[in-house]
Amino acid sequence: MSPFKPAPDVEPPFNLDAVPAGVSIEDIKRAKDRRRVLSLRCGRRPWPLFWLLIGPGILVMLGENDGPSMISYAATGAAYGVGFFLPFIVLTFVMAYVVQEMTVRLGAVTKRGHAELIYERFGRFWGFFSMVDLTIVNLLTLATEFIAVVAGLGFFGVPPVVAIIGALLVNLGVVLTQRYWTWERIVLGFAVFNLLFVPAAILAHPVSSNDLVRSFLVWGPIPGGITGAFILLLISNIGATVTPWMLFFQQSAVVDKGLTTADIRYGRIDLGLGAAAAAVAAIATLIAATPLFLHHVAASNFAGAGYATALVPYIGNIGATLFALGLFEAGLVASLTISLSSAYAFGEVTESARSLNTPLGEGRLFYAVLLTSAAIAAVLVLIPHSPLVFITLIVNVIAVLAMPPAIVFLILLVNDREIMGTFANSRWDNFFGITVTVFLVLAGILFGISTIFPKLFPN
Amino acid sequence: MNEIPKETPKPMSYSSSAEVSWVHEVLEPDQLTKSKMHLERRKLGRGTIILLWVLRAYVVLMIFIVAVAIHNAIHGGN
Repeated sequence: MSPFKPAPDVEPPFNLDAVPAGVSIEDIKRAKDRRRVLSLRCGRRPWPLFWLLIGPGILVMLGENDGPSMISYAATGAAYGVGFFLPFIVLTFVMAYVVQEMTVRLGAVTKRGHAELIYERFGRFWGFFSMVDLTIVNLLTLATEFIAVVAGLGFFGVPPVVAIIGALLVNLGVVLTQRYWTWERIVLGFAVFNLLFVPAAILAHPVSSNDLVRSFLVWGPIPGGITGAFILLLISNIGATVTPWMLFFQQSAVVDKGLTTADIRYGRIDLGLGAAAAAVAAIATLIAATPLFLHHVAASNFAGAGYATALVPYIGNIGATLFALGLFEAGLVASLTISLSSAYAFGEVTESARSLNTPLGEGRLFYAVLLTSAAIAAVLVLIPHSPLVFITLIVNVIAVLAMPPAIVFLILLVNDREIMGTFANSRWDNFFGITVTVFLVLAGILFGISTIFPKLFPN
Repeated sequence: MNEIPKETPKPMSYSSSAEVSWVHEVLEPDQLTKSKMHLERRKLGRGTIILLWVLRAYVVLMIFIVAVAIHNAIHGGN
């Protein structure tokens, strides 16, 4: 006999214009999605079930391969080539998996979003701080996503205003589906194009496979040694994989998708797949930009499209086109996921609508926050003479600095046996989670020292 | 003579209570928007509160350092 809950046989013909009392339209849509999961689970069809259950993990990881992240990887490849940063990037994705896995369990067990849990368990005072951190980091990060959209499409001669309006229209169009499942599938379709950097890296083929293997074995070389620029890229690469919005997005997406404790295993697989794909794309981006390092091209002041243009002599027009398209995709997908994380958090703390399954009329505030946050960030990009490259790199640094309090809240919640029961952290979970937190704090302190005492790490 | 009109078969109808029951059968109680219970506030220990305040001070300090970094970048510092 299957240990899983059986699916009810017949789905009623719901009239969404006359919803019975006791349930909401959001409940009905979520129940329809869950019924398919229950049917496949009882029918023991693992692959179709897997297809239904993946989503939040892949989206959070590929969404974190956003504009500033891909520019950070390109800047790393252009400045340091293949060496220390290859295994370091893999390490950052391992850290991201450790952190994000806890949000999968939290969402599946408690059926509550991250902001909602913080407010309910720790109170409004501490919840306010976490919301302030999220709001500031999200707004800055969203601005850099539109920088990436502009940069990517700028390679093809698309004017910035047109690029931004186009990206905002995509945001609007996807949200108008008013169905989490549909939104998720569309954005997954976009997110796959993050792997465009892989053929770009193949076209670059700047080093031999022996050099790639050696970089993983010796974690080197580090050309120029440990300088202020090295530390900035080190922190920026960490911030390219662990940021506060990921915690809020994934947990709330798990809840919006309707995942339960029976789905945690697939949630972990989903997340692992996402981390692997994102790591591959990140490494590919670094490799694709390595010809700039090998040919001593000064790339420190490049905006995003500058990398694609500068790479034309080395990877050809096709390679540069793929690079630019990848940059556009990175900014577009992240604009969708990050604005949604803000809307989720807002809905949860104001106890209002917090689901993409909510009809427009019932979720006006939710959709307004989602679209307005994207619009404000888009407008910031159009301000003339902004130091866009520096902003892009420093946003990742800010994300790293904001992470320790966010991870501490996460670890406190996931160790809370009153709400997690048997799904609370094990000793090993805590060991790895605390290690990541300490690592992030030390990275922040290193950045602080290199900024206040620059002569200790001269460029 | 008038023909007796044929009755068209009525479609099977679901009562609203059956629809509600169906949704309740598929979703878990905490997944239902109208029946989710608030969690009780948790009491934080002194050590935890100190840790949270230390981290809050860390973030404030780091914001200041980021401002210095931005200033250095704009004015051509190291």
